[in-house]
Amino acid sequence: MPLVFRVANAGRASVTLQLLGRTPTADFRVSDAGGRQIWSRLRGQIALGALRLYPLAPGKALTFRHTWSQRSDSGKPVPPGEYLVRGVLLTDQPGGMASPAMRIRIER
Amino acid sequence: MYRSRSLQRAAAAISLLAAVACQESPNPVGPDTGPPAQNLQGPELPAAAVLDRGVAGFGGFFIARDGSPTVYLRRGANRAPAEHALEGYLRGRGLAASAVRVLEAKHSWKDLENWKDAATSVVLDIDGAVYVDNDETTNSVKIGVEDPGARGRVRAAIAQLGIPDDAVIVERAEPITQVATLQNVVDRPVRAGVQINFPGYLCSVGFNATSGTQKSFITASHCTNKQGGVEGTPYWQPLQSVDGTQIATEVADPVYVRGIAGCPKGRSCRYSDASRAAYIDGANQALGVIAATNGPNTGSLTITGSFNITGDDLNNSVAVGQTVNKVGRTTGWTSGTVSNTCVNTGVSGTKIVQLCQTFVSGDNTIVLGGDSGSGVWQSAGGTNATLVGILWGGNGSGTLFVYSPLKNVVQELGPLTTH
Repeated sequence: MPLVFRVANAGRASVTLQLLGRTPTADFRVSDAGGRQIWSRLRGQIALGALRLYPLAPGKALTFRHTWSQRSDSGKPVPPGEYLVRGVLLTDQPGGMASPAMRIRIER
Repeated sequence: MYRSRSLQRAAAAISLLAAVACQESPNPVGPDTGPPAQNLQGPELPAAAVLDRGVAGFGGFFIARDGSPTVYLRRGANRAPAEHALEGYLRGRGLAASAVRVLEAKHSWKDLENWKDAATSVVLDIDGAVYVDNDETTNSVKIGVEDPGARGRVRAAIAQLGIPDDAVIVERAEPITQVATLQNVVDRPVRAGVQINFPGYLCSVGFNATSGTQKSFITASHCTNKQGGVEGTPYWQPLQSVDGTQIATEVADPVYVRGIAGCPKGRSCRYSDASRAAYIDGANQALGVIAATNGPNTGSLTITGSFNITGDDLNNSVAVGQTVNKVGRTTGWTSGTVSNTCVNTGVSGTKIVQLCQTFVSGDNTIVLGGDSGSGVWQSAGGTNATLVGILWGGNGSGTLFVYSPLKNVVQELGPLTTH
């Protein structure tokens, strides 16, 4: 399942994002209908801890893409049902900047 | 200043969208710049100067405590231009233009602005004066003073300026003091733990060290223009925009190499993510001193004192289960428990493997972006610290950090005097 996460400057002034790492990094996180996280794109990975100052002009956007294999962190295919997907931009704030949750349904 | 701060917070103007695309996308996670997303926010509040130009008799605008949009207008002024000027802003918040409440203004916004400017140049020279404001909520110039004695001096000054007495409110105010934090302090001599800036990035000073006779600080290798290899990276503290005098230059950063023992095929490896920068003015080095906040894992970035480095762990003797600490510009003083030692660690999004690294876990956030380069240390009693390594990475949730043991750092950068 292809996932797209876009962070856009919808304001009138340029902003400077403070982003984890040398290259802007985003996580994708999937939770079950009960809110329990079952998969994270960055689970188990170690990222560099520098903070990048990333200017984003009005109207510009950062876009991240990833494909979810519809498996949990344990590698097992997830059962049919409803899931919540979030994109999370990793910043200097706990929790980063998270998108609203997208509700998806997996059917077999 | 970051928590207060000079860089604009992204959240103020950024919309976040997640989408499930319809077609297969082979692209890995990574940024690209694309067209603007749909603007989900309503129009911004017009600046007061804009309202003043478009609304005859404008005296100020504010949101009252009960949430009512409120505008001051001079007697006889028509409310329709104000409603029109604010319509887009109010619609974006689910309010009709008719929701605007109108109060009678004694003074025009433009007059108040001019009086504020005139008062500022005089009043802030008076002992005990704290601030001068064109206060939208009272349709007046509001002046804060620390003590009653200043009140009379301020009233006399504004009378001399010809400002109407009823246009000015003088009120008691607490003095405003700047709080020195790990992120905003211009720290001279520079202590470990404070923010450093190199082109496009922020990191933390790991620890001060003398190499031969060269006064230096140690930070992460990736806190240089290029991770591995010396490019003469310039450093400022805390920010080039705050103090434009460069404090140091990168002088040591061994390249990553293939084929060393334990390095996987196709990867480049080192035993430490560490580099050394030489101070341009050696007097800037606070050898053996780490900036301290009020306690571990409190989230505070306010500097309240210092730790003193009294020892170096050159044997990599830290064991699983022991507690270690770090002070860094983003999460301040945090501590955690060593969970793994001598871990060969792949770095996300790169072909780099750091050999024989130490993992530290915490119950909550103990690392975030910008903490890279922080010195890692064990308590040696009181404010004394034994240096054990350099922090360079962490997991996505900030509950685990990774550091290069000091033994590895010295192996690659050469002998260092740290205190």
